[in-house]
This record gives sequence, structure tokens and C-alpha cells, in this order.
Amino acid sequence: MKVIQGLIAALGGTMLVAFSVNVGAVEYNYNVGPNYAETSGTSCRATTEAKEYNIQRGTGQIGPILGSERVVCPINRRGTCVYGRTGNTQFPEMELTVNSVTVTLNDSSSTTTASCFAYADVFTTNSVVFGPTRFVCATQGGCTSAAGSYTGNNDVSLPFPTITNNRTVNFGYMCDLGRGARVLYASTSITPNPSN
Amino acid sequence: MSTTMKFLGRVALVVASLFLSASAFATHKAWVLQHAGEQCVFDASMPDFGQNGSGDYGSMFLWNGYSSNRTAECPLIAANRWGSSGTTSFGVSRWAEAKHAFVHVYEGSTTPFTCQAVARLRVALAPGGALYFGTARSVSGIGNHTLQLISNSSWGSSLEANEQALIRSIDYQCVIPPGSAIRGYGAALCQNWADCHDSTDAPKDDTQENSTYVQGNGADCTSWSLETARGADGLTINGTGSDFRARVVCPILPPGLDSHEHRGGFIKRAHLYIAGGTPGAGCESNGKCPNCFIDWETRDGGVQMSSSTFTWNSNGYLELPTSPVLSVLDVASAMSISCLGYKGQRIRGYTMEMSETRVSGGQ
Repeated sequence: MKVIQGLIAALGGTMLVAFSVNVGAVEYNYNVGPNYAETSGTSCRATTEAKEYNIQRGTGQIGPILGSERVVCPINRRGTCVYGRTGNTQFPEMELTVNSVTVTLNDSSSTTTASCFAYADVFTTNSVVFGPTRFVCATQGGCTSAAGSYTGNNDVSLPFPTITNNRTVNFGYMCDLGRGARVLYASTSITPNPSN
Repeated sequence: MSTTMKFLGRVALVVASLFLSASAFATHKAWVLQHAGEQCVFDASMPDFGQNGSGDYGSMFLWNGYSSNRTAECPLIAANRWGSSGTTSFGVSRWAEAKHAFVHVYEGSTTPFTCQAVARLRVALAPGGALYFGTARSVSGIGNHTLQLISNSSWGSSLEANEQALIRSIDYQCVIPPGSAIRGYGAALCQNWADCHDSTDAPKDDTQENSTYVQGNGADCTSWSLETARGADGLTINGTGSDFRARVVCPILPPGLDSHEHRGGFIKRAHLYIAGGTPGAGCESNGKCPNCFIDWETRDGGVQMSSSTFTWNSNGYLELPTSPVLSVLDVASAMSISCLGYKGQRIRGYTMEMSETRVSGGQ
């Protein structure tokens, strides 16, 4: 890389300015992450087309109409590498490192619960793995057991399951929503392939 | 000090300010995030009409085939908003500041087609919180239109007033008239400067220079005809019916693009990962694996295009034939992988290499 170094000295001792410029340096190098995937609960869907009949979406939320319902919420990360890169790992198109998944739920009923867990398809074994369930409760980040009387909005932090060989083409989270419960939104932090 | 000394001093200051404070300069750049209309969903089902809440027709668009207006939500998938480590350096901006926000629609009636941005923003720390609305905007007249949700640099209303807050979610809420469709939608979220509008504010296109890999989930696909099951392993065709077939459409979410939409793009190494059936050489022709192709619609002409058929690779996946590379010459309003599959077959997900716009110099 060609480097120009310069020194301009203003005479008289009143000022001295030095600069160093990398002419070959780029102005924009889009390699600063992580890849934050932020989506509305409306991107979730029922487990079958038939069960869509029990789903109601509204402004920034999704939930069941009657009784309880499970919704599947794929996490879309778009590009798997930083901008303009195709990766330097062995499988940059499908390797996955999730730093965190946080889902925000609303529970308006004191008699029902809302909970979520993360999932992933294990590419190399054609099997699936699930993270532990977290229930919405008064504790930010969620509880490991149901708090049926809780009402309000809160976050649940979902531990992401270990994926054998770290490769997947289908991952996300699922939520079991009682009547009166809603998924509002989710935020996922993903390390790109490569990470810089 | 002599005149020469003063001149040299001024030159030194100007040169130093140019090189040393480059990162302080504003940028009009933005991350362009595109979506297929299929990623929109109706608020509620219409069981009496046989329409449900997901992709009603197994199409890359969301069609309203009902006889009256239907309301749908189009979630913005806010990902790939990178920061820069170049001479202009900044971290990831996760705000709602945007240069453009657009919905490509087909209007099939004389009723206005109306959309409005609705956001949850991190104005307060408490989870959930209030909704912030942009101004509702409409288009009319039978045919294709692009509905702009940002006008005169503004979302309008409470969303504009709070747009520097972190995004928790943004939906475009649309009232779709009868016989009309959402073809695609998206936004250009500012990279590093609030109200990143420049003097030539119209959306621009750019030809490709970069590329990256994209991964999509099988559970994001929608279907039409046979019952399907959505889960941790993807989307499985598992219903019963007289002909045992289902159309499955998987929306393609392109990478975030630097500032401009993209002409002259390409797709390489498109792999579709499946399970079930009895795949093998020629399976795409005899029903032993899904018959799939990439289809897309040109944004400006409204012309639907399609690729050749994915074929079986003995390494265990369907792939788009590698020669020639699939060229997408015009900006696409939507892209998807469309399949005709049979009972017992499953879509796990896809990967592909997609071109990107060049890294532009500050605009």
C-alpha cells in the first residue's frame, strides 16, 4: 500500500501540523457488526395453514384468537458475511453463531402463560435441536417456570441450542401463546462469517 | 510573520482538516433492505373464502382475492446494517432514520391502495412500549405503482418525531383493495447520518460490484393446496388430497445493499436443501423431489422472469445449474424460489451467492 507521509511546518513556531494518509485505504469498509436481526412478531406464522385460522395479527403483534396456539418465527439474517465478502470459513453460507435472542412478549391475561424457545435444524445430521423454554414473568429475561398470574410486557432471553458442526439453513424461535398473549418483536445478534 | 508564513500556515490547516477529520463528514448513505410481497401477512383469515393468514396463493406476492378490502402487515426484516472500519468509521446504526421507504403494489380496483408505517421504538427502556405511526399514504389507478412512505424527508407524524430511537420493529400496515397485491416492499435505513437525504433525493440504481452469501429458512416458505407443517426442520408437505401436490414458495431476502437498488445483478451457487421423497438424478422431473426454480418480477416493467429448474446434485441438494450464472438485469421488486412438491417432501432452507451494489463514495 502506497503511503504518503507529509510534514508541514509553519514557520515562526506558532503551529506544527503533521499528517499521514494511506492513499490505498478505503473510505468505507463495511465489516463492523454484529448482524442485528430485528423483526416484528407479525413475521411469525402458525405451524399449519389450518391453524392460521386461530391467529390474529395487528399493529406490531401476533397472537391467538381463541385458546392457545404455537407460532413459528424464522429468524432471517439476509447476508451471512459482512458486506462484499464471501467468507473465509469452510461453509460461510450456512455457519451460524448466535450471540443472543431476545423476544418481547405481552401477556394480558392473569390466567394464561406465554413462553418461547429457540430452535435450529442441524444441517449435517438432518435433525433438530431446541433451546430451553423461557416464560414471560416479572423478571426481565424470563423465568424457567410459568408465572400464570403475570400480566404486562417483558423480554425473554432465549439460550440458543448447540448445533453440531455449526451449520444450519433453518433456525428461529417458537412461542406458545395462551389466549391474551402476544409476540411483539424480537432482536437477534449474529456473528457474520467471517467476523470482520 | 511574513505573508509566505501565513499562507503556509493556512494551507497546513486546510490540508490537516481535510485528512484528519474525514470521519466527521456526513454521509448520505443508507442500507437498502428489500422484501418479497409474500412476506406480508393478512391480519386475519378468511376461512369462508378459503383464504388464510399466510401466503394465500403460494405466490411471491400477497394477493387479495377477496371481494372487499383486507388489511395486511409487512414486517421490515432489519438485518445487515453494517458499520464501517474505513477512513469513515462508525458503528452499526439501528435507528428508524430512513432515506426511502417503499411498497410496490398492483392496484386492481378503483379503491385507493393505502399503507402506513407502524413502529415500536426504544424511546423508553421498558419492553414493549408505545406504537409510533408514520403518515398513511395512498395510490390509485389500475396497474403497478410504487407507494412512497417517506415524503419530503419525513415519515410524518409520531414516527418522524422519534426516528432516532432504536428500532424494535417496523411494519408497513396496508389496506389491500380487492383484486390487488403487494408485490414487494423495503426501506433504505440511514447508515451514519440522521435524515440522510442528499440533494438528488430520488431512488437510484447501481450495477453490481460485490457479492455475498445469503441463507433463507424453510419455515419462511408458504404453500398452496396440500396441508403443510412449519417447524424446526422447515416446511413439510403432509396433507392428503386427490393429486398429492402442493406449491411451495420461499421468499428470497437479498443482502442489505449500500445506498442503491441493484441493476445487472447475479445469483450463483443457489442450493436448495430438501428432505423426504426419494431424490436422485432426474428427480425434479419425476416427482421424487420438488421441481423448483427462481422467479422474480422486474420492478419497473412488472415482467415476471424465471430461471431454469434446480437439478439434483449427488452431494445431496438441489442446485441451480451453475452455467450460465443467473443474471438479474433489472431491479427486482420481489424474488423467490417456487416449487411444486409432493406429500412427504420437505424444504429445509436455501443458500446462494448474490451480488451487491458497489461501495459508493459518500452518496
